[in-house]
Amino acid sequence: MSKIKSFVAVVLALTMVLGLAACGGGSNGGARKDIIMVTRTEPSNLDPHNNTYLTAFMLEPMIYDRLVGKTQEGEIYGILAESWEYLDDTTIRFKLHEGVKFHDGTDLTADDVVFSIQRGETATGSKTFLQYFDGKNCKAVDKYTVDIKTYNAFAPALTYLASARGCILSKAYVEKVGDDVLAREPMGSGKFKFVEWTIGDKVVLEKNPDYWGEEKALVDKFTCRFVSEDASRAIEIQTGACDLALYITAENIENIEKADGVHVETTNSFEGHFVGLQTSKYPFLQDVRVRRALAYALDRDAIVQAVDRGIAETMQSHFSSSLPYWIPVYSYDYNPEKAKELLNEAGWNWDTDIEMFTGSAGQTFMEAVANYWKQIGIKCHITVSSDSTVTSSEKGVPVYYLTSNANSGDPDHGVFNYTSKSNGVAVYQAEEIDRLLAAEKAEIDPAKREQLFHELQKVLNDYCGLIPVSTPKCVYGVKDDLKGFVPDHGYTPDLTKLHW
Amino acid sequence: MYKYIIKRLIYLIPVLLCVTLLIFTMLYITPGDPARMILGNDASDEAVEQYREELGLNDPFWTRYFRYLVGILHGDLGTSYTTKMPVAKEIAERFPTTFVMALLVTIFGTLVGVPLGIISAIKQNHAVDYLATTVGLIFVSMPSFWLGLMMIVLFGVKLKWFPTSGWYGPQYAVLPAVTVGLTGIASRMRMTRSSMLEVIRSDYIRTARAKGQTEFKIITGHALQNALLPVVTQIGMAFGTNMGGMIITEQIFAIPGLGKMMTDAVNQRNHPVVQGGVLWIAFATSIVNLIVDVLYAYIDPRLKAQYVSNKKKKAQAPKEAKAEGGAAA
Amino acid sequence: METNQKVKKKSRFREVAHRFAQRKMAVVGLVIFACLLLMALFAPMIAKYGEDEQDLANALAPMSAEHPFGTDVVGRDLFSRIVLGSRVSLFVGVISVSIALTVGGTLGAIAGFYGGKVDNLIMRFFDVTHAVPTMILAMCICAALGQGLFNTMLAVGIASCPGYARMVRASVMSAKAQEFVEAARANGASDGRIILRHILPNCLAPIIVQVSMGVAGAILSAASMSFIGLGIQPPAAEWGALLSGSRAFIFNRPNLVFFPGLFIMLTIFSLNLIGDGLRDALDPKMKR
Repeated sequence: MSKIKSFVAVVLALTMVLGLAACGGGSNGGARKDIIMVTRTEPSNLDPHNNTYLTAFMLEPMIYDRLVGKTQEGEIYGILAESWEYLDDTTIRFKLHEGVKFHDGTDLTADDVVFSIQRGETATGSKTFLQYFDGKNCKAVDKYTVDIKTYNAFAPALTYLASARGCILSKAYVEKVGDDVLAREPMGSGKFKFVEWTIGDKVVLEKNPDYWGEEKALVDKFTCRFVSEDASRAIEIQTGACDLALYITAENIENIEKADGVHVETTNSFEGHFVGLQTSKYPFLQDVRVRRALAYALDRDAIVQAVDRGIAETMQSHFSSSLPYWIPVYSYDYNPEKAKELLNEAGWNWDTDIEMFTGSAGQTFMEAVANYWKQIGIKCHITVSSDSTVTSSEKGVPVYYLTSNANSGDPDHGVFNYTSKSNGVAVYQAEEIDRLLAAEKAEIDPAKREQLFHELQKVLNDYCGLIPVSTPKCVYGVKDDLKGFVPDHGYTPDLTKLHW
Repeated sequence: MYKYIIKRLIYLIPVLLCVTLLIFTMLYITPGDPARMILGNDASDEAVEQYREELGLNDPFWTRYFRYLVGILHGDLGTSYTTKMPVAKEIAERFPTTFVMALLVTIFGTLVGVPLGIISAIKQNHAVDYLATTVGLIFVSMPSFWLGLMMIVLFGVKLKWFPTSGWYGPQYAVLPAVTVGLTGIASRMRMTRSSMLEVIRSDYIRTARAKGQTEFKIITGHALQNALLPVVTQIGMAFGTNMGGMIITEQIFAIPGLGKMMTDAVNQRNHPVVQGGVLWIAFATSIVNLIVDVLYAYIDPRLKAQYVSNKKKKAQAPKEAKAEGGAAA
Repeated sequence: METNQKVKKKSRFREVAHRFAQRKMAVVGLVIFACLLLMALFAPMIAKYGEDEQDLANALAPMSAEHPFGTDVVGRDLFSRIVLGSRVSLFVGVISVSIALTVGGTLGAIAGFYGGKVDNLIMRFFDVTHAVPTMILAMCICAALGQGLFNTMLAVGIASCPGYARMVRASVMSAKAQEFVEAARANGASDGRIILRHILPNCLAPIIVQVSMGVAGAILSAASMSFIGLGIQPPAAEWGALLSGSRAFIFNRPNLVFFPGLFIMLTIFSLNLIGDGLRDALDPKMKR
């Protein structure tokens, strides 16, 4: 008996010690020179060129500097670039600030800029943005002057350089440590230095006291925590355990508003949630009447209300209404009779069973869509993938859930789905779309570009390759005392200006 | 005794080997292309195919399996498909959290459950017994995820006693531990109770009573020692179950442990992480089971006699023979 | 000889039933489970709405006379979904256990009966699966097989095999030593016949108890799988999936999370009570 007792005592003591040791320090934002933010998804890495996570897009500009930045209103302002000018349609000359130092003390020069553009042009995460830049022909004219070249005249060039993919890396550092270490231990020239990354838990940044610019960071420490459960995130801000929470869902807004010391800030987003129609592989989707019928069959307002419960608006075009050059063009208002009529006209085979696919994030959305189609007699069934990030290409299904976030704020970003043609978007008989896409990218004159986008949106509406449904709002939970927070349409607010 | 331990440790190797084969095979037949998952939607088919070559996904089954085994011998459990970090490193960072939790929960469950079981057995058929048994059964029947969510609402939000996500201090462990632990307490209690009941009814207890021993002495001196033996075995198994139970709990409470890592990895088709995780858990569970079994053998005098080495037996035998006058031990 | 056996069986059954009825809690469990079973059997009549009957305008409605448990995010009536979902959950539980019993039990019987190398081989295999916690094993099998009703049943069934194998093996081993086996062999009965007709009937007691607890465990495992996104997915109304799908609304509409979990708990609770009762009733040593 005593043997058991003593054993138990020893194990208990050991466990207590281990337990307290493993739990680590218990700081939760008591001293107010630090900020804790909670968001939904942990990025796979913090390499500006190798991921497409919104979380990374927020953190990278804190650690790194970009050549230029962009305000909420769409104006470009210089960060590393003191000034710039267009030498010709495809060349921009930037004059860099002198005396900019990376966190390891080395100078940031034109060579680093050229290196970053070249690397980003072909890297998986940044290709979609930087493929238009001609890395080979970018030149460091002198230590602080660099010429950036694009393959063709490219209207969104500065906007894309202002995105997180435009972060400037240290050539020496990347060459020394290699891509894999860079992914986990970023080092830049920004207002914050990277401290640590506990996988599955948080990323910690600290103030860079030697920041070259005039405006230094206003807090000493910044922690970004990853909490994937929606309800848990809401609790964190509600109980004051964090200072800023992203991706608050509709039902939690009221509770947060009622709680003391915190409130909710909402703004429209650059996102679009669509029903994707893979025209390239499925003949039955190649008839435009069928696609339009599928659109007529949906009561989009009801779907938006059910899925987003008041924090979204029904899309009236093929990208968010907050993007420049937006016009309302959507013409397929809810009309189940018309849908049936069109399907019969197109010779629709009512025995066809449409396969639908979505990740877990789009489940409610697709269930609602399937329901409306079933109501007019279309047979369909949904496969839900357990991973919320997987997309349909893996499955190659005819109908899928598609989201896009034109995070950079340029309407070209808003039509990325059509440019990239992934998921079979607008591949079949879409020459007119392709022509207009190429034209808008190359058109530098804003007035003319606006006209092109108006035309493009009308064509996209007629083609009906995707059914746009909702643009959700960005919902942030914010502590009342937190200053300097500007809700961002792209769900990537500028975190460097936060302070108490 | 050491021989037994060594034997068990050696035996562990083929078991773990088979575990790797089992999991490897299962992941091999799992649908989903990791290359496509990593490169994402925008990547072209050629890029995906090229990446498949790079990852070695097109090689035949046995080649890939042996490559994996060789890696393990070097301490390399592969590289995560999503984060490109060595799996061993990721496990090392996240395992302690889960392990400590599972251990805490198991200990907690035992320390609370066993006494309750004893009391319940002693006071059999009284109100206390019925109450404890029923409440215990209710908790055993609760899905842990349901209990966890209810606890979050009650203690985290309505009462605000404890934090509900994260892992930054002892207070963060309370709600998750209770969630997983309540089931454990109930199990331990039921096990102890039935074990005690069986022992209490046995002959030698009746003899002790007849001899006039106090009830208290009977319980603590004789009954308890024997009744606790099966419970000790159950503790080892409970540890394994708790490790598994952490999977859901970590998801709900946002604890950066192994369970969450595994769930995410399974969903993302991140095979190396799943393989490494399962292997490591199997290893840890086996070690804990070994410790418990050794403990059991140590405590149980019948087994101890078997495992005590021959030398010791010979040295002891003459002494014992003298002391007991030849009576068998 | 035959009639004697029949009489014995009948009175034995009566005796067991009598002892079962004496335990109050066991009867309570039986009653609860019977209610759930009836609910499952008459589900389409009890449920007013369909499994996937959406009413977007009425989404996330609070509990009311029309919707006793409220509606979910696309306006489906929760009460109807729970009632209809009972069929899925019970079905999964029963089939999973049947698979586990058949596969595991057969392997265990073979191992127990033949002993020696065969026994060694089979039990070593189960030792391997024993090293991996059931939950994780089920998770991997679920991921390998994919989602869906049948795959989930298979996964949970396979993951539960070891327990049944062990139990049947132990029973077979102890029964093997009995005299009637020798007698049957002397009569020239084949191995299979001996196992099936003589040994297994005597192992029935522990099997019955294990099965009743096993169904509970299988339902819980299936619900857990659905909860983490593997198992059975919406719009199928499996209880675990119901819980998982609504957990984001836990603060506004805790009823959406509370009720599916409550029903899971009741099912498992009643099955456990029945199992406990059966164990006490079938155990010859118990004297009350």
